[in-house]
Amino acid sequence: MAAGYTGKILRVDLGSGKISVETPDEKFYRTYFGGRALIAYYLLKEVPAGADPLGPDNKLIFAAGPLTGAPFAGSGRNSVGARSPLTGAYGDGEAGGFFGAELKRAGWDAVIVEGVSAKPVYLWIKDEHVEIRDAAGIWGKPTLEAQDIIREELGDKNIRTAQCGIAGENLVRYAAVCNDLKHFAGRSGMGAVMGSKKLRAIAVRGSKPVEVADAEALREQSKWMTENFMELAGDLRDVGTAGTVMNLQASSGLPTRNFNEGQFEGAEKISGQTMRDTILVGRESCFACPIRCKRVVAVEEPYKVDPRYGGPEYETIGSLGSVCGIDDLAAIAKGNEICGATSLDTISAGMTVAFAMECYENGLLTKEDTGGIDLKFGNGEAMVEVLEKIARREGIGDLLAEGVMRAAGKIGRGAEKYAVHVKGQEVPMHEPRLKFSLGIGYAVSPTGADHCHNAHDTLYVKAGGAIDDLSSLGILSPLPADDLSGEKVRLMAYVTLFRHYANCALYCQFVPWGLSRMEQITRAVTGWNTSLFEIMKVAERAVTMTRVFNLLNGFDETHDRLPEKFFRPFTSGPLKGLEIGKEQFHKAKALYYGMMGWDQKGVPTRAKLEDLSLGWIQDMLGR
Amino acid sequence: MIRAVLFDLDGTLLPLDIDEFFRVYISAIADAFSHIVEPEVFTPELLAATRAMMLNNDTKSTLSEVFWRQFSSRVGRDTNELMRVASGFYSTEFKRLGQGIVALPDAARAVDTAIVRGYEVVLATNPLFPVAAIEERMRWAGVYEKPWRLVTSYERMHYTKPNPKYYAEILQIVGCSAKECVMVGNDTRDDLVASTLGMRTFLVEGFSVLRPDGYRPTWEGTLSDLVRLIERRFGV
Amino acid sequence: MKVRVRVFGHLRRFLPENREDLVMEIPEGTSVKQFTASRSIPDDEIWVVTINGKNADEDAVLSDGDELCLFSPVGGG
Repeated sequence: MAAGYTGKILRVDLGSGKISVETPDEKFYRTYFGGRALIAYYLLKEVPAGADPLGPDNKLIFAAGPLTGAPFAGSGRNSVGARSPLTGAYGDGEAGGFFGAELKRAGWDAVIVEGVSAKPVYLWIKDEHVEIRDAAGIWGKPTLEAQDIIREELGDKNIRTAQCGIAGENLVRYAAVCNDLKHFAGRSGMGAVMGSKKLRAIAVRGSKPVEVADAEALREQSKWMTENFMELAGDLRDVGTAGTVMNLQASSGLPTRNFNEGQFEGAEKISGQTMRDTILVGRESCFACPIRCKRVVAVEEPYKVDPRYGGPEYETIGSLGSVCGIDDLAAIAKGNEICGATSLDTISAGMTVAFAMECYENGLLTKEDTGGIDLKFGNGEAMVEVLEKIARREGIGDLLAEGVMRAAGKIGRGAEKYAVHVKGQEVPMHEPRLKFSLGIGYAVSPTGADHCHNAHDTLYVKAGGAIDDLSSLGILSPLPADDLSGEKVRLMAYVTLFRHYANCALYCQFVPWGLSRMEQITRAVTGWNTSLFEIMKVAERAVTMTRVFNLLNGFDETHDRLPEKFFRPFTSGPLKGLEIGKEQFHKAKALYYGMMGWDQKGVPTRAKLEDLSLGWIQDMLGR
Repeated sequence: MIRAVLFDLDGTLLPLDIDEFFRVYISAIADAFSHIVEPEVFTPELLAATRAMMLNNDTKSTLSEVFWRQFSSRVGRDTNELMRVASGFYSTEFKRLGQGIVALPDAARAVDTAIVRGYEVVLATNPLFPVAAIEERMRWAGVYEKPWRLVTSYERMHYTKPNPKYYAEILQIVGCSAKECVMVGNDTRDDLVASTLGMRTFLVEGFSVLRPDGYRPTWEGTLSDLVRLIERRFGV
Repeated sequence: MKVRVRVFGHLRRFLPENREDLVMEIPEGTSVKQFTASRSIPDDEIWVVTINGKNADEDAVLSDGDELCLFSPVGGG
């Protein structure tokens, strides 16, 4: 009896209109779980190497996990994956909200979207009923309007949606997939894949609760969380993820002016505390979560910001704020709203604006190129204007919609040194010069630079708290943030693996369950007599499968690199002169490969593939 | 499948006797207005305007609009001036009325249990008050800082309890059918009338208001019993 | 002596009245470590300390008129 997972995967061919159902067995689910590992499985099996990410052979997979929609805080997440149009590598993003839980309630673990529709459509899933519907009425519209129209048309206010927005329609390479207006599978350009298939949205409504194996055990966990979340969730409710701003400012880890500096003189003006005390009008939660970390902001002047689009997370405060040298919170809020309305990844968008700003300041872009916009660091109005252009590929927006790697290639004349990316994905708002093993994580991440399936060294510098939680994995000692020894690589490898698990199971990493309780929750929901060992193997499977996908698509160990900027130490502040050191970096990277069971070139060994029950991959590697 | 749990506030999540509280409240608010409206005029007109809200069947006017239209014309003062005084009262003297109240841990527990179960939660209190007053009472009950889908205040709603249309309007706003909702309250008429629409209901002991024209609940018990029932998905 | 204490993260629960920013009266010669101990702030909840905007360690001694900032460890998101 399936518990947690539903046992049904929906396959939709938008070219032929064929809709079919697959019912993998329990072994499949226990091996691949859901989310990242499930997506990697199908991409490896079905998307030929070199397939055009924006063409008919790419597949877009919406994958929940066995834990999605189960009654515990943090269960409202799903992944979206495909070959990335931004990097050409394995791509995926995860989003919270309600869409994933609703998909499970409708009886589905995943939706595999194939082919390309001749005209714009949206998918309507109501329990077993699946229909491809005409999207002429919502194509070209902001996400808010599109959701309202869908709900009106189908006569149901509680329909949950996943959309690609006009950024996806216009194939902006870092277009996001938007759950329920305010939650984004942001990275890797999954919105562009969705737009390339002319799929504007998936609308879902389910009527059955997710079944769990051991309701009593899960209840005990939920009871514990309701008693403890106020204490354990820190200041997430009070100031949101933006609570990180002042901490990073104090330690020189706040990305400033395209990562040229680590401290921003305007940090206090854009902090979570300032947001709370000025433009915040509400706090919201995702499915089944009591924490309310999501922001709701409203602004009237000089920009009108609609609170129905929520408000900025830390990443956005960084990417549309400090990394662009902007200290205007209203402008950041407006930029956030624009990215929400058009479904753009705020990290890549902001970093591309910052890149353009640095080019402009160095004469590589002129006012003629920008259509008259004075694209200097610190110009909030310019950032807002450029974001609108990017979403529509208008003027300079057409160049910038390509992302920093391709834009730098087009501009030439040394612009590459201002393009801060790994494998083509723009670096998120965390400094490798503060968090040394995070830099390794940026380099080796399958999706390009990513901060979610990565380790944040600053959490592990003192005994207690986060270190205690890792003791169940055998990590027993704290380490300095700038340590890059074998012990630190080990810590980073284990932590990163557990975060990959979070993207397979799926659950929200901000809900303070800890490793042991997550293991118990996994058992309680699925009924499997699982263990941290098995869970870590699922994570390893995801990491190795995505690695293989990338190898087959032309990536090798030379792509696991860090932009040059990060090897130049800061010239002021608390981290002045502190250098990552290339030799140390490469040693650490090589250690990571070894710990993952890969050879010196980062290729998974035969033994590792067998260890992960991935024998079927040996042929793909020509063995 | 149940999607939403509606909670009454006074006497359900908030441990107070509503009649007693109302007496104290009327006295305090009359006092706050005494510099511009004599208490002998104020109190009857307040009650009359409140009755007008309860009788409202006009979908075009919110209860707030109904109230102020009646009240300001009857006491002969400008609405904005009156609303300013009211606003001042709710942010100062009104807060003191909650000083003796001790929140029940099971109240927050019941709401949190519903949330982590994946239910949406609605604060279905009689919308005779502005949202500021309701939010203050939610703080007294320890349930303000929760992800409420809807808090029924007079700015938003068009009907009051025990009019079944009050519940119908909630269903319309949250987009659920009656079968998908459970109403939790202490008043066998004002709260349990929700059953006539098809909602399941839970009658909370403690400050029960049992009326001759009341309804029978689907379940009854303490807040602690309610917590257990929610944990078990209402047995559904 | 008077010291302005500002805390970020969840540390406000260790300050009087749950404040995140207030001027406190503390004895002459108090070190950062002594101050945090007096407020029962666990060591692992303090990650970075600044005095008057400059990074300081926990043995640093406070002076009258200083601004002390305490930061807890945070991850990312």
